[in-house]
Amino acid sequence: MIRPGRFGPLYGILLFFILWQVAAAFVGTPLLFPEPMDVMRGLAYMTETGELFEHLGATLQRLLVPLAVGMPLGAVLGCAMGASRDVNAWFDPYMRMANSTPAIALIPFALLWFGVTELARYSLVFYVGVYVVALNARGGVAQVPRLRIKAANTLGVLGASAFFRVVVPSSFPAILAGVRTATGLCIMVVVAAEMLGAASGLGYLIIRGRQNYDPTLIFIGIFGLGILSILFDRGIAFAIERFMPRWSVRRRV
Amino acid sequence: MPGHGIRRTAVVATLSILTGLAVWAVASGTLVSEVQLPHPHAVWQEAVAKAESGLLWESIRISLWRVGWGWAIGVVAGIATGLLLGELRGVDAVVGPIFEFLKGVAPISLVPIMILWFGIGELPKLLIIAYITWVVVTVSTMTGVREVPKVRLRAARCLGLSQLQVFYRIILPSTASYVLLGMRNGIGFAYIALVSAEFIAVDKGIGFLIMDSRLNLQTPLMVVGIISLGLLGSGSQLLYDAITLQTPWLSRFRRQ
Amino acid sequence: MDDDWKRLRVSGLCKQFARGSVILSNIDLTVDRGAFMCILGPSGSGKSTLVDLIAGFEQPTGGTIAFDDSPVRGPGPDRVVIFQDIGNALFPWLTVQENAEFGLRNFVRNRRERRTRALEALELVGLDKDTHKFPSELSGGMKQRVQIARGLVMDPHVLIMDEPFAALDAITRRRMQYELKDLWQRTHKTVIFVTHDISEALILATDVTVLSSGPGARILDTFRPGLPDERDPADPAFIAAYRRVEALIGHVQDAGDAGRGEAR
Repeated sequence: MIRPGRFGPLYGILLFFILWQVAAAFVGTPLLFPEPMDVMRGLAYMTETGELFEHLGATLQRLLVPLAVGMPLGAVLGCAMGASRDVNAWFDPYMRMANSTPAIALIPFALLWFGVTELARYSLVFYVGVYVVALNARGGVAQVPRLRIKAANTLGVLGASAFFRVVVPSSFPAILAGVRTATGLCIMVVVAAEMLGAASGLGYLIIRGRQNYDPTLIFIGIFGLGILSILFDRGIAFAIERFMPRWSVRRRV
Repeated sequence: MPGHGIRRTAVVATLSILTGLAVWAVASGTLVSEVQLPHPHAVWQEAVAKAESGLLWESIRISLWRVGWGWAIGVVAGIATGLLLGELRGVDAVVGPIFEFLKGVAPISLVPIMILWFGIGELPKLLIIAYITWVVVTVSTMTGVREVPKVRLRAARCLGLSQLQVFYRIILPSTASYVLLGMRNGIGFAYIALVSAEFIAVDKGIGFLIMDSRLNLQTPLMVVGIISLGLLGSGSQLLYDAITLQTPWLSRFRRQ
Repeated sequence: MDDDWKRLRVSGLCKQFARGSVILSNIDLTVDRGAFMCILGPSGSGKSTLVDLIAGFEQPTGGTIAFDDSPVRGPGPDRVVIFQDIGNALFPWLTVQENAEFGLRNFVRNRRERRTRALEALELVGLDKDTHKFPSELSGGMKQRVQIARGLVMDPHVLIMDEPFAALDAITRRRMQYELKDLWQRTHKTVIFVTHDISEALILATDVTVLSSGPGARILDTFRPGLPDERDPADPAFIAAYRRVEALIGHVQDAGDAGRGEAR
C-alpha cells in the first residue's frame, strides 16, 4: 500500500525521471537515447541563450491567436445547432466529416493554400477550435435537463429568453470541456504543422534534431511538448475552478 | 410529427451538401486556382483512375494493416496496464501525471526518434500507433477500475467472494464500459498516429499518398487521399460500434 | 460456520476514526436468533458505522462481535447486507436471475440447483416473472426486492438491512415494509434493520434499539414494543410506543444541539 498523499505528483515526476534514467542506461548510447541530465543541460543552455523561449513563444502564439478567435465562434455555432434543428441539419454533415478526418491530414492542404506561412498554421488551429467546441456546445445544449427549462418557464421566462438565460449557461461546462479537448488536439496539430514546414517552434526543434542527428534536441522538443500540454490542461482546469467556479463541472454533481 | 421532423432534417442536410458541392464546383478555377482547389469532377476522375490502377486499394490496405495491428497491440497493453495500475490503490496520484504527460506528447513528435531507433521499417509505425492507443486505453481502464462503486464491492464481499473473485467477477465487468469507450477513443488517436507516421516516414500508405501528391502538386490525388482517410476513420468507428452494440454479451455492460 | 447459533452478541463496541472523532462508544447489543431487531437513530448517529462493523467492512477500535462465542471477522455470507443504494448494489450487467444467483457460485456447484434456489428466493419476493430483466428495467421497489432475494438465497444467519427503503417513495416504502414483514413471518430469518423512521421500526420490529445522536453515539434504550403481530399504526399501544421513542430521541437531540459536530 502506497500512501502518496499530497506529494503524489512529485513522486510521479521522480519516478518518471528514474525510469527515463534506467532506460537510457540500458540503451547505453547517448546518441540514441540521451539521459535526463543531457536533456536538462540542453534545456538550461537554451534557456540561457533565450532560444527556448523563442520557440516556445512561437508555438504558443500559433496556438492561442487562432483559438481565441475560433473557439467563441464554435461556441456560438454549437449553441445555434443545439437550438435549431435546421441549423443542426445544415452543419451536421460537415461536422461529421471534420470529426472523422484527422486534422493533421489537412496540413498539406493548408500548406498548399497558404504556403509555408503563419496563416497556414493559424487556419488549421482555427478550424479545429471551431468544430471541436461546436460539437461540445451542441452536446451541452442537448443535455440540458427539461426540468430546468420548465422551471424557467414557470417563472415566466419563455422562448429565446429561456434559451439565453438557462440553456446556454447550462451548457457552459460542456463548452469548457470542449475548450480543453480542442486545446489538446491543437497542440498536436501545431507541432505537426511545425514539423512539416516551419522555422521555429517545438516541432521545428524536433525536426532540426533529426536533421542534425541530435537526439537531445529531439528529446527537448518532446519533453517541452508534454510539459506544455500538461500546463495547458491543468491551467484551464485551474482557471475554471479559480475564476469561474460556478461553471466547474465538479460543483454540479 | 417526429417523422415529419426527420424528413425535414434529411432535406436540409441534402440541401446543405448540394450547396457545398455547388460552391466548390463554381469556386474551383474561378475564385481559386484549380491547383489549389481542383474541380469535384477532377477529384472523382482521379479516384476512379487510382482505384483502377490499384494504387488506392494498395495504400488503403497498407494503412489499415498498420492501424489495425498498432491499435490491437495498444489495446491489449493498455488494458493490462490500466488494470494493474488501477488495482494498485494509491498509485494513481503518482502515475497520473506521467500519463498526463504521455498523453500530451503528440505521436508525430515521436516519429523522428522512432526512426532513429528502429529504422524506417514497419516497426516504428506500429509502435507509434500502439503507443498512443496504449496511453488512451490505459487512462480510461484505470479510471474505470477506480470508479467501481464501493457499495458494489461490499455487496460482493458479503456474498462471500474472495479478493481474486472480486477482481474478475466485479471489477472486470464494472470496468468493461470504460475499456470499450477507451478502445473507441483509441481508434481516432490511432488514425492521427497513422497519418503522422506516414507523413514523415515516407514510403507507402494513404498518408504517404497525401504527402507525395503535395510535392508533385497533384491536388486531386491529395483530396482523394484525405477523403479516403475520413471514410476509413468513420468506417472503423461505425464498425466498432456495430460490433460492440450487436454482440449480446458486450451490450449488457453498457446498461450501467 | 456453526449453524447452531443462538444469538449474535455485540459487546463493548467502540469505533474511533484516525483523526480522533469517536463515532460509537460502548455499544452492547444482543440479537436473538429469529428476532427482527430495528436499530433506530437520528441521522449522523453512527447507524451506518454500526452496520459496517457488524458486516465486517470496518474493524472496531474496541469490543467484539460474536455468534455465541465465535467472533466474526471480515465480511462473509453469514451476514449479508442489503444496501440502500440500489443503483450500485445490484450488478447492472447481470439479469435479475443472475444477480440472485451471484453469491451461490462459490457454494453450490450444481448449476440447476443454483437456478432453482435463486428462483425460489425470487418467488418469495414476487419477482419470478421478471427473471430475465436487467436492473435498469426495474423500478426502485423491484430492485430492492432483487437485492433481498439475492441475500436470502445465501441463507445467512443474519440479514443486515441498512435503511433499505429510504430511497423509495412513501407508498412503495409502506408496501415494502408490509411485504418484508410478511416475508419475515414466513422465513423467520434473523434481521438487523437500521432506520431513522420510527413508525417503520415499530411496524417491523420484535426488538428496538435506540441510538443517541452522534458523535460518540451510545445506546439510549433497548426494548420489545410488545405489539401484536398485525401492527396497526392507529392502535393506541402503537401510538404509545411511538411517543416513547420520540421522547427519547427528541430529548437527546435537544441536548445535543448545543454541541453538534460533523459525525460522518
